Amino acid sequence: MIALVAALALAAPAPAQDPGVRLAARVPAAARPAVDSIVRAAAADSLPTAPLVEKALEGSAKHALPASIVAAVAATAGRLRDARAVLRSARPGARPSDAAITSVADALGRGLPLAVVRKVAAGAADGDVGPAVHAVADLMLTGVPPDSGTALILAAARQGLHGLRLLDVSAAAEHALQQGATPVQAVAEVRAMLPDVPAPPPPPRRALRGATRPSPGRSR
Amino acid sequence: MSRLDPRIHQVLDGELPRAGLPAALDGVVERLERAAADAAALAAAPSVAGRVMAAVRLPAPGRAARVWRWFTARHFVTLEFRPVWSLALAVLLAALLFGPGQPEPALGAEEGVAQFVARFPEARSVAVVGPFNDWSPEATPLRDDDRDGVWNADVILPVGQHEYMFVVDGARWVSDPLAGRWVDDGFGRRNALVFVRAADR
Repeated sequence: MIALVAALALAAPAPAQDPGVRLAARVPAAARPAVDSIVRAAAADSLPTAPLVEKALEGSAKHALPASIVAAVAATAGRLRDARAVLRSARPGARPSDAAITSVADALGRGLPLAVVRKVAAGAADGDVGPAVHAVADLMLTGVPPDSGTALILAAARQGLHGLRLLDVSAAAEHALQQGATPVQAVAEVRAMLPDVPAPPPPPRRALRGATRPSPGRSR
Repeated sequence: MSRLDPRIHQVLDGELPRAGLPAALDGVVERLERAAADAAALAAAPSVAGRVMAAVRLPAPGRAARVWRWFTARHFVTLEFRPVWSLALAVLLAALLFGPGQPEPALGAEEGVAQFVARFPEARSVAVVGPFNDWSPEATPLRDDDRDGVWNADVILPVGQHEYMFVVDGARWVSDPLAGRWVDDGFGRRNALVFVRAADR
């Protein structure tokens, strides 16, 4: 019986550490009250708080000044609010998931305009919004105009590509550009091959054998 | 049993001078005397009992001498084995020598492997940091086993996007120049972005 209890205790997943405890352990005391306040406000507003805690831990690890840590956490909270607002306006009545809010906030951090995010969010399913906005951001980075990029990614979603497969669309366009196509030609070329854009090869078995799980830490 | 010439007996008993014997009998006497001398020499060798007793009377050897004698003396060992165990042992040795070095970790449905590669020829250590390890420079080191300056690590992460940076020599924070996607980190640098796909897609 004791062995059974011990085995169950070992097999049970470790409970997620309380954000307050994680902050207290790593974030400078001078920054903690303000960070705590931002995190509490976000929780009260039903925003995801994990990105805020992670941003505070990131600032501490990078030895940023307490004021910089507070500013970065506040900016992250602002982007999360913007992301949720744009998702709500794109699809009235739907409750965006934390993952979609976080992903769109990251895309805003990459410099994607709000108008483009709104257009993508209106045309993609909730689970596809994150990869879709990043695929459009990738296309913009290679010189594809935002409207063409948005149209290409939404066309791919309509033709059955979902999730991270949408990133293969932007990768295919980037490949065409590297082969000498202009942005317009690259978009046309990829659109013609939809939905059969090539996928990257899976990691070799060797990589899987040697792979380790990061510790400590968590992901969103 | 052959009978000896009586004159030979007389010579051996000293009753007759040897010079009086014919040459053929003199040769026989000579062979008999040689055999008698050999037998006398054999009888002079110590008996087995005598040798054992002589050894017993010797002072007992010390511990070092006994150990040395044990190591240098020949030992006869009898091994008993069943062929099936030999086969099992051979299979085990083959598995250890030629089998995969590490077992594959079990991945969840929503997990994949991120392959981090970076070139830092002068670095003594490189680590990857991100929200997945609370940005801890000690948590996830990269390896450069062949010391060619190319560092790598295969890390199991949840499917989706992850920000990351490299930490070189425990202090220098470097954005991955090959990532292709970056996001402003709010601290004057930029984090790289990686998208992890499910391993079993």
